[in-house]
This record gives sequence, structure tokens and C-alpha cells, in this order.
Amino acid sequence: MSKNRFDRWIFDSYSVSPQGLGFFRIASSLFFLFFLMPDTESYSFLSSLPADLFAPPPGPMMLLDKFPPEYVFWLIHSLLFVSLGLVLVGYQTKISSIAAGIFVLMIFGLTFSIGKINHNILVGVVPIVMAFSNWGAAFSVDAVWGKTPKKVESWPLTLLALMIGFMMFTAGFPKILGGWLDPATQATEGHFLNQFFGKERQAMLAQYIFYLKVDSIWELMDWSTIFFEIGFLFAVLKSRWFKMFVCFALIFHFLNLLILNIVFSFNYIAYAAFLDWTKIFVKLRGWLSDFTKKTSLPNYYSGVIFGVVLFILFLVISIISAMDIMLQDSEIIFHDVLFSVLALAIVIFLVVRKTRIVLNKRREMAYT
Amino acid sequence: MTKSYVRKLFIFFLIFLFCQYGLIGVISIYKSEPWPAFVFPGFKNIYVYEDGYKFSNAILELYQEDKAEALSLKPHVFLPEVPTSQISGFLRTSFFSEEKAITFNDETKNWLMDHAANFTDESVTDVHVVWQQNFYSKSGMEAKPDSTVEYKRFSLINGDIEVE
Repeated sequence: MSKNRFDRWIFDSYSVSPQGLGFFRIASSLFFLFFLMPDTESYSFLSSLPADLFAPPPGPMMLLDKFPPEYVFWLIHSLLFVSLGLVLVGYQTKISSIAAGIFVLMIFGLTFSIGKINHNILVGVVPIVMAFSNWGAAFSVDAVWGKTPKKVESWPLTLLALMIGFMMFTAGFPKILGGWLDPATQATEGHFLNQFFGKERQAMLAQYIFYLKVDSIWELMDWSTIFFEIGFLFAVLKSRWFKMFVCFALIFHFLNLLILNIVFSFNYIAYAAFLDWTKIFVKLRGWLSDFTKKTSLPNYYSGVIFGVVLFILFLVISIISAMDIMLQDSEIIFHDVLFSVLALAIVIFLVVRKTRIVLNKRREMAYT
Repeated sequence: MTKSYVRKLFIFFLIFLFCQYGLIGVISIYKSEPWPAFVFPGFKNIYVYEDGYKFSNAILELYQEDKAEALSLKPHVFLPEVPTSQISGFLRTSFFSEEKAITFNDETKNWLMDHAANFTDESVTDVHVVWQQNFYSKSGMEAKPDSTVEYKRFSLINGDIEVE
């Protein structure tokens, strides 16, 4: 890749605006606060565990020799909560975003010190990377007080895409080594049965998929999983390809939820960064102008209304989730299903819209 | 941040991501997967065994005073505080060994006894972790494994188990 192409890839792959980034900042911090905060119920249990059962993953947690007292968990949790609140209102946005990312990595590091990590690092990476986009340039305290420049950067999105693409590659590569592509093995079926029996993940469609005894379908799932995960790394080269792979990822996660009952809501915050938030801002401003019959509303109106509506919506969803009235027989929570369905609906909407654009173009070309 | 600095940052990450992946591969052989690290789960295992599948699981047995039969509990019942996604990793790290026995200090033994007492009426004399291999044939239509074989058993309180 020549230097020029390298520069274009870094700086021109994605287009951003202060308002679009502001919308994403508000949406992602609210999503984080409502649905991705670490589980506080485990803090008391973890701090009660003896040193023999402290098994930190290789990394900074090895500096400790046992689980810290419960108040340390609560202290980090509180700091995370405050820093996310500051990201939401956009006060000292850059510092508070980096702090939020570090605090969440710390607290997950502690909860993973029982000998098993979960792969939700993107939850911490997103605020840290996006801090450098100047996503506090609009709809923020920093902007009102004139403490931040208006200029925004798009390269953090390219960097985030690179990280996601690479991480997907790391999911696909071991599968090739493990024999997933061998037509004699149906690895997905093996994993399905392991989840079904071993972890008793038998909700959603699992009970029905259990009777799917067609090797060719399971083998197709093996191959498509590997092509999807390995292909993600190459998709990083073009924003159009990458967005297409994000759509594949949403379908993939949806199927995982239905079949394997595995939830990937924590990745959605990273995928959401690649939505066209500027278009969402423009649409919302248009609707507000129509609604209030005023042609020019101050920009911050849209930000405030967007934040308030989203807050109420997330509050209602989290209350329903907390009621535990749905899917009681599994660990899947209402909001996991709702956001997976919503993500799938967005993918279908984008595909339909794209198809219509292509068809219209073809029709126009045929006429001319 | 200047363009030149950003360029250098990208070059760093392009090298770092691959290097850390190689390093993780090496570390994971000797220890567990590092945190934080830029990796997703590989799910390398395929569980294939002859014309079916095999997968392992563990159960916990609580032995009580004056009771001949042990109380068997599934891990998520014995440790409901540990999320499902972490419980098998937790058991494998702390309650499994290639050696014959697992040796805990008194603090851990007391913690296990106290924890086990929540599930029993009588006082607990020992806690065993039993590792099983489940076999399931490809053509199986019943929602339970065809056969289960115990392949490891550890006494978490008394250490060694006398083989009969």
C-alpha cells in the first residue's frame, strides 16, 4: 500500500461530524450505563473468595495476590459510573472517556480473576478510542463552555475497525487449526451440543435445532463462520466492506442467540460506531422542525431531545428486563433479545434501502 | 494529534496486534488467556469422537456426617454467583489438576465447608469435584447424553482419595 493510500485509508475511510459523534456519544454512554455495567451482585462473593481461588489472567491483575475487599470493587464501580456520566453530558469528555475505558477494564479484570476471562474488551476500547475523535465537540458541556475545538477526527473509527477486524480474525484462525473445515467434522453441532448439555443453554430455538440432524447444514455453518471471521480482517481495508461485515456480524450474533443462547450485546456498542449518526441527527432535526413548525431550531435541541428520549426508552427496557417476566428459564435477559432483534431490523432496513437505490439506478440507466 | 503521529500510531497497532496474538498463543500454552488482550474466543475444540461427540463437565458432591449418600449438585447450583460463561473455566482452573490431588490451605477448605453448609442440614465432611466425560452419538434423538464416564475425582477438603 503506497503512503498516499495508507493516508487515505486512515483519514478518509469514514466521514464524521460533531453532531453525529455527539449523538453516538450520548447513545453509547446511555447504553453502557443501562445495560453494560458490571454485575454488582458478584462483588461480595468475589471479595469473600480465599486467595487459593484467586487466579488472575496474565496481565496487570497478577500484581494482586488475592481478591481485594468489596469496597474496592464498589469504588471502581462508582468511578466508572461517574466517568460515564461525564461522558454522557460531555464534561472533560476526552479524559472522562479514557477513564471510563480504564475503569471498566480494571473491574472486568478483577471479575475475570476466577480463572476465566470473557471477551468483552471492546466495551473498554470504544470509549478510549473514541476519546480521540473529539466526540464531545457537540451537545456537551465542553462545547457550551467553549472548552473543546469544533474539529472532529474520523481516524479513530478506522482504528476501531482495525481492532474489530483483527479480533474477528483471532476467532476464525484457531478454528481452521482445530479442524472446523474438515467435512468429516461438524464443529458447530459439537459446540451446540456442548452448550445444550454442558451449560444447559436450551432456550430460544435450541430445543428445535437439537433435532436438526443434517450434516451438510452444520458443515455449511462451520465454513460460513470461518469465512465470515477471517474475512472481517480484509474488510477493514474498505469502509463499505467493513459495514457489510458488521451487518453479517449482527446476523451471526442473532443466530448465536437463537441457537447457542450466547449473548453478544457488549459488541453492539462497537458496531454502533459505524452507523451514520450524522444522518440520524439530520433526520431528527428535520422531524423536530416539522413538529414545532419552526424552520431553524438551535442544534442543541436535537441533542437534548435525543438524549432524553433515549434515556426514557432505555429506562423502560431496563425495568422490563429487571422484572424477569420473560425467558425465565434461561440467562438471556429481555434487553438482549430486544437489541438483537432491533439490530437485525436495522440490517434488513439497510439491505432493503440499498436494494431500492440500486434498482432505481438501474431503471434510470435503462431509461437514459 | 498530528497526522504524522496518527500514522505512527497505526503502524504501531498493525505490528502490535499480530505480535500480541503470537505472544498470547505462547502464554496460553503455559497459563490462561491474558487480559486485556485484543482477541475473541477461538472455540477451537470440535468435540468429535468416533461417530459422535464427547464433552466433559463437572459435578460437586457434598458428603455429610451420618449420611451415606453424597448430595450431588451441578456447578451453577453450588456456585450461583459465578456467571454461566465463566463457571466451567473457574472449575477447570481451581478444581482440576493433572496431578492426583488438589491441595488447598485451611482458609480455602473452611470457605468451601461454609459454602457447602448452605446446601445441607448436617455439617459437611468433604466436598468432591467429579469430572465426567459425556458421549453423544450423532444419530441420537434423546435430549440427554448416551453415556457418562467419570474420569477424575478430587477431594477438596481431605486431599487424596483412596482408590478402592
